[in-house]
Amino acid sequence: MSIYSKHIVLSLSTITIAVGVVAFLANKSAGMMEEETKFDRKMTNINLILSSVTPRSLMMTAVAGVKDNRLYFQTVYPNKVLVTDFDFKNHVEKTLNVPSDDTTASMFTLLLKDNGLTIAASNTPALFAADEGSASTRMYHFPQRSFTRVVMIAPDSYVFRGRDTAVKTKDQTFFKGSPAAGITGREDNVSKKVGDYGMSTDGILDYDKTSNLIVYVPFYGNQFICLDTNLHKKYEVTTVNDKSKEINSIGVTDAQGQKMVTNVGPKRLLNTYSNVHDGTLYIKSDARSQLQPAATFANNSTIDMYDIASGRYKGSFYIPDHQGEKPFSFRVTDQSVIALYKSSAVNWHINN
Amino acid sequence: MNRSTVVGQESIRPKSKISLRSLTSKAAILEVCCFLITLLFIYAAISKLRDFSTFQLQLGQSPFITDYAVPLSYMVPIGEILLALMLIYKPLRLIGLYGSLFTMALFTAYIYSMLNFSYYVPCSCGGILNSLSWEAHLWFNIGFVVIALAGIFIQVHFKNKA
Repeated sequence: MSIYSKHIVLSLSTITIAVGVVAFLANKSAGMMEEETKFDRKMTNINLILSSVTPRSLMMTAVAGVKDNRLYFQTVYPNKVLVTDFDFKNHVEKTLNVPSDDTTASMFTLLLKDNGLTIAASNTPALFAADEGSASTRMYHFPQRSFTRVVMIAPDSYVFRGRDTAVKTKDQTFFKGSPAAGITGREDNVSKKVGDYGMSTDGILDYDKTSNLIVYVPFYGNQFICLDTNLHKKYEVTTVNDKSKEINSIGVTDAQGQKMVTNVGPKRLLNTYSNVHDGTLYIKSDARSQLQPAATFANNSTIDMYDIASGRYKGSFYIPDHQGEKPFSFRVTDQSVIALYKSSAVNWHINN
Repeated sequence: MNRSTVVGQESIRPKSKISLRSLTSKAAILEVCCFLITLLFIYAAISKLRDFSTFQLQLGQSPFITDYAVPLSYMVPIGEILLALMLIYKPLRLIGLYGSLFTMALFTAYIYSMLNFSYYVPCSCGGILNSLSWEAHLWFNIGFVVIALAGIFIQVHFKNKA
């Protein structure tokens, strides 16, 4: 063997060992994921059939809701709202008199009400209320501290998840109120006390008109909480993917010269998105059950359904991927699931 | 006989000049290879050590290495500095080049696996490389694998000549 051949073999061996080390680590990580599949899920006969599709305007960030048979889309700009019909036609771009500065745009929620719209700006913090058909808004400096989640439970009455000025805590809690009356109610020991400013318990807050109940679905945990409108805990339910363990752990670090709270382990979102419709909670789960074929799970998003009044699991269905993309936001309506993908918005007709 | 010798001499002389030039350019390429890898490792080690807590945190966020984040957070920058020193100290240069090849191949395979098989991709790294996407980082590392390979074979060529 020539000296060059010897070093070719040595070089290839070096590269092979390096690849082998990474393959071992990746395989070990995949093995941990497989541990999560040891639960069962009941797939229903709900099928989604593609009804209409449109290229997604890059402005669209979420389907805020449906009003008068029109879809309202939240955009990246707090002062812009996109409105279309269910076929994504008759497209209207509403411009509201809301500041679009970085603070306002950093986090906000579009809320629909019967006679108008509200932009709830989390970091300002403020509420901007606009009447139907009007671009002008009324600004309310409410609540006083920034919040992360908000829902409207009645005209001009809101439930927030955030830092409550009256409670000395390093966690986020639920409180409710209105600009006119101020804070009118607080949770009674509902939120977990972790001391991480609510990071590890971050999730999605929703209000269901049918049951008059509020649900909160954490991203990382394997449970959801149901509250009545007085913020009393009605129940806490372990989700169907209950064998999934919480890998995510939060810690405080002095990274980059400043104290920050962040995840100190791999971020593992379990229940990645949710919304409510007509008494049912729909949760997009990122955990595969043992009966779901890996390929089917990989090419669809699994939605678990729960009866909001009781917390009972009702079954699951799939939202298909579209052009190889997974939906990052969806909203269930009477006959459709409106899903937003990276490059398209799709109306899936619900076929029972 | 005389003619052929002359012809022979004429044909040898230019060749030896080319060979000398070739050796010089190979030596220059070797120095550039070692310099680039040394620069990369020193820079990478310093930026990791300067913001050590962030580096340790980012290792912990990686699904593949979360269990080994603490020992790795010390081993990686120390290893990078040792490799840089080996590349500077000529008697250990070949070992340093093999170490660099192993390290860069490891980083490349790691990034490829993270992009294709990981359920969560944390932030990439600190310093100037922070502005690179993971994909750009992958190509950057592949480039350094090639540089390390080139360095090894030029170094072997010189050892062989010696």
